[in-house]
Amino acid sequence: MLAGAIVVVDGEESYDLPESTALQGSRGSALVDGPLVCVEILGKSLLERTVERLLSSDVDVVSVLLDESVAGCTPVVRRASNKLKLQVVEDIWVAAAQSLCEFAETGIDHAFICKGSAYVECDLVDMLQFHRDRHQAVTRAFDRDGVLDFWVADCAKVKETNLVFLFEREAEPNFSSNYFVREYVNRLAHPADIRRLVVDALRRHCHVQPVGREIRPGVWVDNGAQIHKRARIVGPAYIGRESRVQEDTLITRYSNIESLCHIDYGTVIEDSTVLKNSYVGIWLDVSHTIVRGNKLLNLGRDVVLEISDSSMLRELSAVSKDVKREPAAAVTVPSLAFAPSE
Amino acid sequence: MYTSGPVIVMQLPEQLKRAEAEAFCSELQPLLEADRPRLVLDCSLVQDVDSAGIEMLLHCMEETMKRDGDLKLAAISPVLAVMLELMRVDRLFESFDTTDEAAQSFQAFPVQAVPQTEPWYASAYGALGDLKAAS
Repeated sequence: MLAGAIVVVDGEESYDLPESTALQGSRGSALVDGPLVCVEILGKSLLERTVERLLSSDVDVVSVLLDESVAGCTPVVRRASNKLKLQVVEDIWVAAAQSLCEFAETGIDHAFICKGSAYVECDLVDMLQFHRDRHQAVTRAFDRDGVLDFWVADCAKVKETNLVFLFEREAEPNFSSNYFVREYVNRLAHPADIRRLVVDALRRHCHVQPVGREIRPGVWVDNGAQIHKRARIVGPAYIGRESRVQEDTLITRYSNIESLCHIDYGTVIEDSTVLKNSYVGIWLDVSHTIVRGNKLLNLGRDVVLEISDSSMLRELSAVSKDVKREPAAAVTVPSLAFAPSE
Repeated sequence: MYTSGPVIVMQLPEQLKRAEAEAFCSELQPLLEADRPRLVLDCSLVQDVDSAGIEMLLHCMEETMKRDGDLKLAAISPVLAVMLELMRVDRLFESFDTTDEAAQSFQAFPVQAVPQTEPWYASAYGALGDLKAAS
């Protein structure tokens, strides 16, 4: 396949908070600062997964364009490849137009353009073939819920045009000119979609594979995770890299603890997501919730809560003393010594 | 604060952190020291609460129960509900949708419901009593 890809991550708010959440948000408690596509889920961000999927689909060049405003919260793409180009740009659409020109000049006829506001799994070869058959400048993807921010474009035809026209969100899907995505789509319109993605991944309804090893059916544990022998992990569940799960805790019902987290004594995590670098204190009951640092979003009640008591919830720094300093031997399960996954 | 018969209804403040919790508790203290205090806390305004606020609620409930009274919560805001669940104390409190329902719950078995002129068992065993007397 001689095609390129442009992944655009812009700084606009990528999800709409409900009214009750927005009221809380007025005190500065929005749960996730950047785009949801940059949030680590099951060991990797969706941006990283999208790039890897494009590279593994024999796309010749992948250009990731990050808006300046999101550069700080963008995760590292760990897969080294000379096909991958990461750029922090001031105006993503000007940069995207330049990338299309470069593609055209280097002999790349077609380019996939995806906006990092949704996670789309589709058959790229089939979509490209559909586009070629129609002889049109741009083919936009859609699913049963409407159009998606995912296109395939003819580089020579669209390089001179204003790319913003591509993003007319009200465009009605048309079976003859738009490509219908039959595979998995998650629009990441709300932080609750993170939970849906985790559940779908652990149920294997999509191709999002947890990073690490499946130590028991449905129980995934990444490198360096420390799980006390008296902790109960009832699958499906995921424990991320270098996270600590203390004694008498219970992690269950499609819950995921991302990397560098600490779940303290006696706490129950049920149907919940604990995002990277979060500490959850002792004897708490975290249900139907997304936790990030000292904030939590209760999905049942659609409320964001900011907890000032650091013994309950807090953010751990990237090289946290809470995680690193204490003697690991006390809580390390010897059988959980992993080889690097990549 | 307003009263509804022997039941006292109080409104919790919008913020229920350490300072507000202490102020509210000191305001509530004389009522807690009464005989059989019956308290309803209207929680509809609570928008910001921390563990100190929850501890204050537990303290008030403990004090009322020491004196054979009770403390009930009404119109719990979503924020408070999440915090009660997170700290696993939601099951300790009896809660109601409105303060009226909470107040009425104290009088679920009003004194008037049982006739005082005859023994409580008279309605069930009246005929048996007559039979015994006859024998």
